[in-house]
Amino acid sequence: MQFNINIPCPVCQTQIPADSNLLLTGMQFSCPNCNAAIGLSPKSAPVVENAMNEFEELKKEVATKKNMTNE
Amino acid sequence: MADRDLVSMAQQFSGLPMDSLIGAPLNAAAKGNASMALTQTSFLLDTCFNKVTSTPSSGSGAADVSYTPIMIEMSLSRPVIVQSNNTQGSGSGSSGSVSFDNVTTQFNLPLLTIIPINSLGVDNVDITFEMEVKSSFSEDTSKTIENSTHAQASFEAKMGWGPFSATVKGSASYDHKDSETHSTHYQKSNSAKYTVNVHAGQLPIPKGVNTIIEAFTNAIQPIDVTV
Repeated sequence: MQFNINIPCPVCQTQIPADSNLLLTGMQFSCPNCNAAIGLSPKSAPVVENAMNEFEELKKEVATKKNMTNE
Repeated sequence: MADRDLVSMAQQFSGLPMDSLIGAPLNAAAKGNASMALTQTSFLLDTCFNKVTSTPSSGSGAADVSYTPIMIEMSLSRPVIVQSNNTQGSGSGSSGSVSFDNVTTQFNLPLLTIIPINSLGVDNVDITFEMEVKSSFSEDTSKTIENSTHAQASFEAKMGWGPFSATVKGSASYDHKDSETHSTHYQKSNSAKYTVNVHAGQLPIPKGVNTIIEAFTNAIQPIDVTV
């Protein structure tokens, strides 16, 4: 499984591989060093969801610009 | 003989507008990337930061604009060792049992750190320009010489004496034929190929953005939450 972000563990500062979209589903990610699990608090989910939606729109816009560049 | 001269390859390639051929697509890609970077910056500022506008105290100056990162709340679960004191019993010392409790704390994280922004941008530009110049010359010469001589002669002599007569006939012929064929094949050719490959790769996440993210992430500290 490929993760797209790394979040430093608040306990031991080891990088925890995570995925933004999976965080939104409530999944938790464990630190490979100290086994602490991090997840997104439900109350922040709407903010992240909104940001991810806008990010997807941005990716589409970038893809359009890429196509225009290739042409 | 001037027709036999092949074209000069160097001359053919020297007139090519290489700057335009290579530079134009790269410029287009760079402009596209710059445009994307601007779009990305706008996205980061609009989505991941709160814009705070404050009016200057002096009154006439321009409004001060600052950006504060939008923080999101994350939960952290980790097992901690808990020793429960056992005060009952007749023992003089305190004896307790050790158990693992799963403690959940919370920490705040800038929204910026969980957006995979480094996946944007032109990641690859390949420009392949190939020009081939071929020049060839061929000449065929054929020469045929044929001589033919033909000669023929005949004679007849007759003589008689009394009842005797004699006749002598003779003929002679001469044939002569000369044939000569000369063939020349002359050919020369040259070719040149000019190939240009330009590869431009996507740089990793911009240093400035990376520094900001690192500063944010290094400051992550768990906070105690009373549940």
